[in-house]
Amino acid sequence: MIKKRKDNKKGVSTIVAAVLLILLTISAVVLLLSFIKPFVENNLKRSTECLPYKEYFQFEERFVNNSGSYNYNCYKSPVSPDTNYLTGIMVKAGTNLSGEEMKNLKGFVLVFKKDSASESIQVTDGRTVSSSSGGIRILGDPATVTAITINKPGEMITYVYDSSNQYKDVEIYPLLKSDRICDEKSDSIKIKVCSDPGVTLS
Amino acid sequence: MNKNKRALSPVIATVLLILIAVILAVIILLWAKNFIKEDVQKTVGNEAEPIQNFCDDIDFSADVYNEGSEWKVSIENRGDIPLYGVEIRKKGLASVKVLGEVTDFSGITSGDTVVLTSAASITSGNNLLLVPILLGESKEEKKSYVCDEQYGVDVTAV
Repeated sequence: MIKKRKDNKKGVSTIVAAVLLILLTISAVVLLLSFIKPFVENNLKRSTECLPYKEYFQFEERFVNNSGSYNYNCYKSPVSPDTNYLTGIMVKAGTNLSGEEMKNLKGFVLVFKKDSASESIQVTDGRTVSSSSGGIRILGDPATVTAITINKPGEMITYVYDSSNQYKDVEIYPLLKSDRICDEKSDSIKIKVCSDPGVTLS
Repeated sequence: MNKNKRALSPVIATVLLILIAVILAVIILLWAKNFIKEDVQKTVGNEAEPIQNFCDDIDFSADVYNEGSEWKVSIENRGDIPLYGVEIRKKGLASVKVLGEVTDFSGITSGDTVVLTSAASITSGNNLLLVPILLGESKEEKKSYVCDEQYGVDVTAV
């Protein structure tokens, strides 16, 4: 027996169909947004998080006080076979970072360069002061100070880097709390032999 | 099937498309606003400008002296830009340290001389750099702005 096809079968009404379509669209949009929003946000954050620190750390070219003008961005040659080159670097920090931006900043990275070689050192709060090869300390700090305190906003500090190499250039890069080193350098400076009278790095 | 069913008129369709585009643009703008840093503005006279532009026009003199057990900072505003205060920085051996700041919320207007008390640990003979601080506005709240050190004044504490 052949069943008769029922031609007057009714589908869902147009209103129900429209509502279903709208619901389907909304759920699809929500689903897509839950993937796309974090992705875009993360990428935007990553591309903008270094912007506030772009020129935050700078090298001071000369230090001027009431007794004269000095250039501590220089090196001293080893005084004996068991000593190293001492390289002085004057780093100053900018002002007007917001509290949140300050919280996200861990310190900076110094990259010492010469013709074919380079050496980098991370300078962060609490880093152990060292006067041996590869170590860094703050000029003028008493020997009792064992940890580095990096520049607060507006401060300038002279760091002394101890190395077996004599470097010609130094670059500075911001270091964020996430341990990300910003790609764009904040500043760079040439290093010459210390020649100003009164400049000592020991 | 009803073949003479009519869709939306082209005018309504265009209006709807424009509305959707505008709503999307507003949503994206509001969202992207979070990523843009709000500028601090300062108004002098009727002129509102980014606050850093006013640092160039600052002209002031200052003295730091001991009176009794307190350190006083005397500031004379000789320019046209109202000052909020100064940041006190001490110059040491190849270093500059921030000791603190002294501010006057009512502002140090043109021609005014004010004497403020500092809680900073200053010693007689210290080589100090006093850097001007301005007061501006950002998102309807007051915000201070420390000018660059080049606008500061060197003084010796006496």
